[in-house]
Amino acid sequence: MVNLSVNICGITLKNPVMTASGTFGYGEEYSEFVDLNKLGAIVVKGISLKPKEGNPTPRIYETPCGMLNAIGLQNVGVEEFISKKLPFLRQYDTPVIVNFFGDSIEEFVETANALNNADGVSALELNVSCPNKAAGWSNFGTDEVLMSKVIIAVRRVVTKPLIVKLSPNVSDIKRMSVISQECGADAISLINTITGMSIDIKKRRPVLANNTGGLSGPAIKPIAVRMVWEACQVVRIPVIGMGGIMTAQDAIEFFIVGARAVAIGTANFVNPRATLDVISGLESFLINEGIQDINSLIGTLKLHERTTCN
Amino acid sequence: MDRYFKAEIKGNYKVNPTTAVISFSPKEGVQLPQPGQFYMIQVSKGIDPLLKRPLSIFSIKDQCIHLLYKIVGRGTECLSKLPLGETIELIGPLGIPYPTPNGEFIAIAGGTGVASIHGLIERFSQKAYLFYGARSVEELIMTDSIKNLSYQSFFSTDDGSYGIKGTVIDALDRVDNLTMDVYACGPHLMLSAVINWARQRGLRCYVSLEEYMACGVGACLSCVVRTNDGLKSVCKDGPVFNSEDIVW
Repeated sequence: MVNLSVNICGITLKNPVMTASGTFGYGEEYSEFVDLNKLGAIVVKGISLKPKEGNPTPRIYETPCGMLNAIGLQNVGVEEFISKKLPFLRQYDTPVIVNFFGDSIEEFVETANALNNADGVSALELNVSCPNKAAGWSNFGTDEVLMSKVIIAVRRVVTKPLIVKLSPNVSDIKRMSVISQECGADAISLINTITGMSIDIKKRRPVLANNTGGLSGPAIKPIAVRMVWEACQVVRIPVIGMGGIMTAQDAIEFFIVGARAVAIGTANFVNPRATLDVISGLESFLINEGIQDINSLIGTLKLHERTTCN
Repeated sequence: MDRYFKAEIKGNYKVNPTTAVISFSPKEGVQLPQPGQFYMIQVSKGIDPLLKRPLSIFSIKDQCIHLLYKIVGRGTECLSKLPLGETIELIGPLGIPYPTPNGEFIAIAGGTGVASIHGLIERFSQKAYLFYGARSVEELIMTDSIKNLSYQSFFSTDDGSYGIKGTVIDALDRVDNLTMDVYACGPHLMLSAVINWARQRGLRCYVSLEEYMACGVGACLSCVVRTNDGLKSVCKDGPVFNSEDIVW
C-alpha cells in the first residue's frame, strides 16, 4: 500500500485529487458516476452573494485540445447553496471547498462570512480570476493592489482555511503568488482559464456571445505546469495545481514541480470518472516507481544545468 | 446502472452526403433510451477533438441504438470516419424524453431535427401527422421509412424540390382539423414559428432544443435556455420542453 494522503492547510485529504470549480457542478451532478467519498476534495461551482444568471449563449466552443467557456459564473447564490446544495454534500466523508466571488469587496466579504459559518464547508477558495466578467471585475486577479485589498478584507472574516485561486492572465505569477501569501492566504490554486477568443470567419463575429472566454483543457497544461513551478519556488504555503490534467501522468508533472494537490477540470466533461482514473493511476505510478508516499514525490524536480551553446 | 459505458460501433454510414447514422448495442443493465433522449458520444480516440458530442436517438431497432448526426465540423467529421468494430465511450441515455402522446399527435421535423422525431414516430407508429421540412430534397432522409411510420406525412422544401414548396408552417396550414398535441424538433427559427402556430390554435406543444454542450449532465452550464422558472439546462432539464415554459 502506498500513501496518497496529503495535508492542505490543516485539512487531511484522502488523496491529492480534487475537482476544479465550475467543472463538477455542486457534486450531485456527478454522483451517479463518481463515489464522492473517493475524492480528495470537492470544489464546487463559484458562489456569489445573490444568484447569478451568467452570460448569454453560446457559452462554450471547442478549440484544438481544449475549449473556451464564458459561462459567466451562473450560480444559485450563497443562501440557496447552503440550504439546498450543501446538505447533499454533507452526506459524504470528503472535504467540501467552496469557490466564491463578488462584484465588490463588500460582496466578497459578505459571501465569505456566510460560507465561513456554514456547517460542512471545509475551506474557501477565493475566486479573483474568472476571465468572463466585466473588465473592471477581472482586475481583482490581475491588479495587485485590488487583489491585496480583497484578500485582506476576506481574510479578516474567514477563520477556515482560505485558498486564493490565481489568474494566469498576468505577466508575473510569482509576484501574485507571494502577494497572496503575504495577504493571508493559507494556500493558492492555479491556474484558472486563460483568456482567449475564437472567430466565426463567415459572420466575422466572435463565436462566444461574451466575445472572449477562458481556455481550458490539455492545450493549457504546459502553461499551467510552468506557472505552478514558478509559484512553488516562491511561496511556503501549499500550491494546488490545475490546468489541462486528463490523466495521472499529467497530474504527476504538477506534483514533481511542487503542487501539494491537483484539481481535475475539463476532463470531467470528457470522462465523468476522470478524477477516479487519476487517483488509481497515481497509485499505480507510485507502486511501479517504488515510492511509498506521494509526499515524497512532491517538489522533486531536477532542473537541467543551464549551459550556453557556444 | 451505469450511463458511462463503452460500446462497439455496429454501423456508421452516410444517409446523404452530410448526414450519417452511427449504431451500437446497448450495454446490458443500462436503461433503454426513450424518444427525445440523447447520448454524449466520443468522436476521437485522442484529445483532439476533446469533447463528446450530443446526438439524438434516431431509432432503436435490431437490438441496436441508432444516432443520427449531421457532419458539420471537425468533431462530426472524425465521428463519420470511425470504423465498424471500434470501441467508443458513451454517456447516456441523457435528458428528459418526449412525453407519451395521447393517441394521435402532430410531429414536426426540420433538417437534422428529424433525428429525435424519427425516434418518436418509430415508438408511436401510425399515430403521427408528420411534417418534415428541409431546404431541398437532398437534405431529406429516409422519406419512405418516415411515410410508413406516420399515419399521414407531409413534406416541404424551401426550393420545392420535394413535397410542397415552402416551410413546415406552409404545410401545416394546408391541412384541416389539426387539433392534437404538437412535438417538434428543428432549427430555432422553425421552432419559434411552430410554437406560434400551436399557440394560435391553443395546442399543447413540446419542442426539443439544441445547444452547444460539454458535459451532458447539467454541470458545465453551457446549454442554458431561459424559462418561466429561470435558466434551465437543455441537457438535464430538457432537451424536451413544454413550449409555454420557454422564454425566447
